[in-house]
Amino acid sequence: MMLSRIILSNKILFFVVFVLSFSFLNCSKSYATRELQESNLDVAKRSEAIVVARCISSESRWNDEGTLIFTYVTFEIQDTIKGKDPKDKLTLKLIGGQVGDVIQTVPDLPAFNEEGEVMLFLGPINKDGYPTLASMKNGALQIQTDIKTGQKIVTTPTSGLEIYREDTEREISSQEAEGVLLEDMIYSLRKALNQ
Amino acid sequence: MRKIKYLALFTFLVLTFPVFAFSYHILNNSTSTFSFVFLRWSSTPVNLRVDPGTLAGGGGQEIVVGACEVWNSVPNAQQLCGSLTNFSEDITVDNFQSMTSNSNGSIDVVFDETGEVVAALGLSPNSTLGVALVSRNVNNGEIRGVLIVLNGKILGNSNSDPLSTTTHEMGHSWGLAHIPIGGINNSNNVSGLEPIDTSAIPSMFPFNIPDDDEFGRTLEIDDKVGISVRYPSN
Amino acid sequence: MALKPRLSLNKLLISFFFLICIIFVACDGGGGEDEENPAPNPGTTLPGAGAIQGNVISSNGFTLNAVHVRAVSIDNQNIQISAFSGIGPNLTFQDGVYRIDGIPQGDYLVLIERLDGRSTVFDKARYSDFVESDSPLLSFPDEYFNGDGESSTDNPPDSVKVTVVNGQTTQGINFITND
Repeated sequence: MMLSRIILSNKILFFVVFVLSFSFLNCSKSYATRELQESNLDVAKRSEAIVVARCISSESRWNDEGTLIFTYVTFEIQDTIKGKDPKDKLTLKLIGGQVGDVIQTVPDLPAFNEEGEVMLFLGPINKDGYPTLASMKNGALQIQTDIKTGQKIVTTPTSGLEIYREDTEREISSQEAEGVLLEDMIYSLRKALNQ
Repeated sequence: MRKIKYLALFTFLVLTFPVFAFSYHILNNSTSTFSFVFLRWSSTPVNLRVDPGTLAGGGGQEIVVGACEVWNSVPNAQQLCGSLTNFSEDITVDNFQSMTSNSNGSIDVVFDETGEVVAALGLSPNSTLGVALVSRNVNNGEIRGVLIVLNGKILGNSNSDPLSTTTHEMGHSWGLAHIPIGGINNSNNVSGLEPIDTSAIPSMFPFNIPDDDEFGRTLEIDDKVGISVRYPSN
Repeated sequence: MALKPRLSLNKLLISFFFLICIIFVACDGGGGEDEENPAPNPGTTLPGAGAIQGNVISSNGFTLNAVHVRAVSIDNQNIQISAFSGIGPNLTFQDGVYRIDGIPQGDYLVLIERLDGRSTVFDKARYSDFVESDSPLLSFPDEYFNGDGESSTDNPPDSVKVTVVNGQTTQGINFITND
């Protein structure tokens, strides 16, 4: 009832905000590439940095030449698993995005949702000074919070990475794994990278 | 009255909000399950502008010609590739943004010998074999232009074949998406029904075929069906 | 008296919404078609081939989209063509419906498989736009079409052959997932 009164009394503002929210809230995009077949372990070893981060913004805009659209996705770093220079934030500059009625995409890049958490596997810094994604397929693992338990879970399946329980140090998977607790994933990665 | 208002809102959302999904798989503009607008060129054949430089140390233009011949040979489908012309200079990370255009009605092909162009796109120069950036109108899915970047830094080694990758990226240029057939494959140690021989994995499979990546040079039936459904010759 | 301004505002808002809807429909033109280069008509098969069409529903009756449906030739396992549910004839959205075109005449096994969870293939993150990322429904085992025996409790490996005839669409190849 209260909500309907608010809506009724602010109809136009609500409408504008409602529509605009769909324009800006969605950080997701997609790409088409062909890449080498690699396991998550391969990618982790090759990555120059691995972080757990939360997407806080995404903005698409034309380049200076007006030929290509790039999307700038900014993350707040919550944990650094690999990498020499821990930072608070990082921004990826990724090809593609939508500006006006033009949309440019390369299908299959990871989707980044605002407020969503991910584990990013980062490659070398490019000429513009932005880190690259170490892999299309395994460059970003999605993290979701279990509503019931409050635990954070890596929902993107992994392969080729031995997964251990952090509390017991017992191996729970050596082939494919899905729905791994974030703490176990972090522990397993650090264990694999230190070997 | 309130129900009518909500119905109006719902209708508005249904008609105006697209999402991404896949078919044969054909790229589309949709962002919800309520509407799909599939990507395609409004007219064919489509002309190509090609980097005059080398690819993986060899002739790149011949590879693009070869990929065009493959896609132009699909039964019951329109001729897709038109004429090929060269850019006036070698395309590098320093000039690719000014020299190429993603919305001028052509397919621009860049041979990235150092991997720096791929990196400039935000992607890994050490694992990305090729990229196809498809530009289109968000409302009707009409493809306006495509930028293909082929990573010469790793193509030709790492068990990857330049012609297979070019054929694959060109498939995206017509609006085809990735096909999972081949992922359910015993050689990947992934259980699944009806595994397929690696030699028969469609060209639109998203990864190189380590056994012999040259298998990706020829189109399989799923690739051909995707094109003939989207660009029927009759 | 207090109701009158609300009603006017309501009418204005609703009118505006419908006006926008009309504008979008008129401008969109129905989804990517143009007179010079039209896509196939609904239900038309490709020359020299047939098609298979059906739907995918869950054990509790929900239509399922983004389910990978594959037709595999019984005579040659390397002849495989696939499509996703949710995309019907003429490449339009049809809830739970799939259509596989371009199938050479012959006998086939038709199967469904979920792609999320297959780490070497695709995962939910990539399909999150098409698939409800937290959908509990996409947890079914791969299974073959089982004809009259198709149910939510059938044995997934059980199958019946599906015959495809040139120029015809073999309809009713409907799946019920074993959730």
